[in-house]
Amino acid sequence: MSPNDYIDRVADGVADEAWRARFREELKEHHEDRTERHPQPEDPERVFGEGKSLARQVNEAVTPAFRPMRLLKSFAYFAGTMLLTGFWFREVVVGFDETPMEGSAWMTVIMFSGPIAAAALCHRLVFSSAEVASEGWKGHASRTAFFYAAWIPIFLAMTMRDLDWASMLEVFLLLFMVPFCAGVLIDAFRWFLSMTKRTAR
Amino acid sequence: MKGLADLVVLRALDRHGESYGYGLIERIGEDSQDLFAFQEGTLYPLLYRLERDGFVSSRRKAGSSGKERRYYRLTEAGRKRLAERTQEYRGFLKGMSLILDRTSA
Repeated sequence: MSPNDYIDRVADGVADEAWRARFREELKEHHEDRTERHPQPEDPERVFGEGKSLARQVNEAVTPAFRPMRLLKSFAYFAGTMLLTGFWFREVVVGFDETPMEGSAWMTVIMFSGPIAAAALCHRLVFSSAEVASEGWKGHASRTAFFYAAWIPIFLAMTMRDLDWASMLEVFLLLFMVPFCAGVLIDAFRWFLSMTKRTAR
Repeated sequence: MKGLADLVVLRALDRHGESYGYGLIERIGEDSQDLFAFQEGTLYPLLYRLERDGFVSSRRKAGSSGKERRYYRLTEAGRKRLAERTQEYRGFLKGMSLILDRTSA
């Protein structure tokens, strides 16, 4: 089998389209570099490894991992953030209602600085920088933004209705399960999809 | 011992800096005086996994020869991982030497 046929055959075994293209490109470049140093023809299977096994290794390496711990940590992060934000709104922002600051620019700054500080504090406590790097900054930021943004209107509605702490906590815990379960399902679905693609090949 | 290839690749990137696939194979061969050799294709799934886990990052760029290649480099998390794995491996080697070098009573 010619090296190009071997490379194409191995790369075709990679389920994900983007990774397939990248792997094909890198193997071709590797072969090109190797041929410059060692011009004599060699059996590509001996140099690169058994084709099916190699494609399987790539599929395993690029499959999104199903990480329940990450989801549990996300849960801890959002729970902490929302409870701190709730405390901020109820104890600090509402307390300013009867002051001359009401409706001022300062009031807006105070209103928003609480949730931001709560989010930053909880993020630092829950996630290590290595974990964020492993998920990728874009992935981590979009996941964070999705969960957090989903909660802002719910929380504002809760504070405006002036619920007491107990009922606020109850509603919070009930509603919190929605994005949390959605996260679990999305991860499980992505994992299932990649497994199905791999089996189909 | 599991994960030995990871340790070898992380160490090569730490020692030689940013490198592309074939360059990395050459550096590893030189560093180990060709005693440590693996099938060259298996380097890529290993690099993809290290990249997925945040231990290396990659980008395409032209090298000194003008050819464009994908270059891999160690991240801060990768450096920490290398330090941990090195420590584990040194402990493993020490334990093995103690077992293998012990003379019978």
